[in-house]
Amino acid sequence: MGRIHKDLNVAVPDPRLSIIDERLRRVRRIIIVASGKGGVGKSLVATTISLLLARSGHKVGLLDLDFHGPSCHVILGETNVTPAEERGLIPPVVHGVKFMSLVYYIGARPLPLRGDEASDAFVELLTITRWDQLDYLVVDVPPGIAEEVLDIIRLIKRGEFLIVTTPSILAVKTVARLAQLLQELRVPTLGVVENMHRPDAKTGKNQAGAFKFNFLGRLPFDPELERTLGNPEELLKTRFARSLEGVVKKIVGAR
Amino acid sequence: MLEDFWYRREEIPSDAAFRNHLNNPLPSESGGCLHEWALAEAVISTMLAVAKEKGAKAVSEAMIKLGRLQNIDTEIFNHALRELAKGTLLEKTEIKLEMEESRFKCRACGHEWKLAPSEVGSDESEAIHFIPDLAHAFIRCPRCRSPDFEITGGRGVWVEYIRIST
Repeated sequence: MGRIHKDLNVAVPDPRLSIIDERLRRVRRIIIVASGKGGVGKSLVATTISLLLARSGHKVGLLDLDFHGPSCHVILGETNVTPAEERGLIPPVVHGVKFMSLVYYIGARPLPLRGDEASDAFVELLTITRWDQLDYLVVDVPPGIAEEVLDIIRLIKRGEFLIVTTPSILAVKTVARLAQLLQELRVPTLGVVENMHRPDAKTGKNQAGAFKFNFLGRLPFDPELERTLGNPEELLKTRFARSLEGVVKKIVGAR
Repeated sequence: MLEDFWYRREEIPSDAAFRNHLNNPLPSESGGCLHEWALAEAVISTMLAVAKEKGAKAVSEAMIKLGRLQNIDTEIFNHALRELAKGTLLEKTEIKLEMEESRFKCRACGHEWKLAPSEVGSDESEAIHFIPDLAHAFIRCPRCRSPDFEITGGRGVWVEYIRIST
């Protein structure tokens, strides 16, 4: 008896999910800058790390995933560039960094997205953004442990988390929840950076130790930092940026 | 010192500079390759993965839905699909494209409405073309002006089914 041939209709999953790995295939490392807590300086840390890596000769991309409050573009300053549309979107190079953000499209408008909608926007952005070859893609993640963090864990399995905290107990307690989640899910984590450090603060290092993550360094509270927003050359001269150089060396040396 | 601080703050550029491309000619006018290709790649790669997983010997038909909200150029999209399908199991597949109307439902007042791409301004349309969820930055409920609405139809690109032979 010959083989029975069948014709059947088959359901097909969300096509976008199949292409994300391909879009990131030529990206050597993906650094996810997250905290769980807002206002700890994630965007400044992510943007400055990108600038420092680019300045030391690496090919770097920066993705601002904070759809509700994007701010990497404010730190990078004015640029008369836009994504090129070529079989997708090619992020423009801003101060040596390939920079992608929804701000190109929404400008200063509010973007009130609910969870699933933010998740959809993230998937769409990963689907159509062509990073090409990068040594590092740095991702600035919004506060919380909701869809953006869960989507990164789900869709970017190679992502290495860099956790940002401040010495404040308010930050530490929230950051601890993110750290616990990352540990539970066995997500690759580079370690913890303590931002806005003041000489009398003691919590950051202890907290990192408690969660068995590497403590990567302290970044001083730097009142001069605000003046340099929008001017990367000046930003890189601050005590904050100079302290971050040590963290960048550890990130580069982690592999 | 304080005055100087505020003066410097005002020099920080606005978001507007990041939207200058909206005044540039569209890639279709300047001969570039549109982002329809990126979506076509995703569609082809998913259909091939499913066909492989199901042990298909051939794929006779594929039904692809295009949400009107995203305003996909069907000619370019279809061309991209055909080009990408060359040399694959999908080369001879009959690819059917079907449009789905954009439908919205307001979460605040319950109002339901439809929207044609022609009713959206060109800047807004381009943004939504790339990321349909950006509709929340541009569109409001016509009854109560709330941005808190659900896109109930016509969002994005998806594959309804493929017909395979095993």
